[in-house]
Amino acid sequence: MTIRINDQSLELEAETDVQSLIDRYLPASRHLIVDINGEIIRRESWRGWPLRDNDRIELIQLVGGG
Amino acid sequence: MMVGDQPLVIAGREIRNRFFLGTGKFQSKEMMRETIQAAKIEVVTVALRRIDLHSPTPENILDFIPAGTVLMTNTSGARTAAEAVRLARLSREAGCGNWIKIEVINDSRYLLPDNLETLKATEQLAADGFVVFPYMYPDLYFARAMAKAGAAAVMPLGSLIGSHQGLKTREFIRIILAEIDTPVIVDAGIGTPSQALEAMEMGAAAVLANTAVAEAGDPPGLACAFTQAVAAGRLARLSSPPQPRDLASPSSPLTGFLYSSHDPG
Repeated sequence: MTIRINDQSLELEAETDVQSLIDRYLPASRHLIVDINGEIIRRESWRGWPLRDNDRIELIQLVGGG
Repeated sequence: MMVGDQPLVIAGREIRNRFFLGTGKFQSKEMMRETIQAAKIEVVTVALRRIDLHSPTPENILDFIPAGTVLMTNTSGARTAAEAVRLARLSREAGCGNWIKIEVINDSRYLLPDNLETLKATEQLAADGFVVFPYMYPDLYFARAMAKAGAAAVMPLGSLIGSHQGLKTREFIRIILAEIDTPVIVDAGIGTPSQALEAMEMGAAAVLANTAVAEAGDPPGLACAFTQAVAAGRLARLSSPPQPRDLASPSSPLTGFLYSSHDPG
């Protein structure tokens, strides 16, 4: 399946959940925010939350700012 | 904290250092941490950004902010109230608390805040339990409306973001200070400790700066200077200094001169 992460396309095998996506690409990230199709997905829901074809995912983190 | 002063209390939190620091633009996160520690900063602002999956930032900024520091997440990047509300909710979801500096900007040249959208976001977020700090153009009507909507403080700009021009809007900030009871935190454009001191003498509850400190040759040194200036300005305000007058007023007695012909000037 193809999903969109931060406006970039990514091919994933079927039945990938949010947790395994994070584990693969951002294993060390804390205070990471996951938003799928405009809905914030709580951390405790990442495991078992299925990703679907054409999902639009935003991964957001804290940075320095004034 | 100085003699006779009380801490600034916001949402039950006591804040003794009334100089708030933004965390952007530092040469390194280590320098940012050193600055926060050196100046005993209690409130810092942070921002939210998308992660680049192919080159994620290796360091987490929270690892460099001392425990116990209050985080105030800004909504920079928001162009509408709806976007600011979404960023605030994302921040809370990330475990960054519920203090939000509402920043809604449509203009890329002057980075001036959109007061109308900022007010809408203030209303929604305050109703949703956030502790909100609207960054605003110093307009009395909007300041009143934001205070009425439940803002914990209003944050009028001193001058353009990152411009170091100081209190170009001082007369309008004075009006807000005189007319609303909600704390006023002067934000943006503050380039030197003397400018921050003036804001505090005028009656501001706190001052926030970022660029001036981050771009200084010695950020920890300048942050300490800002902290001291803000405390000095606060103490001066509390001490009711006399107003300027047109004529001299001798500070030594005008009697008992050693030379009888002396004519006091």
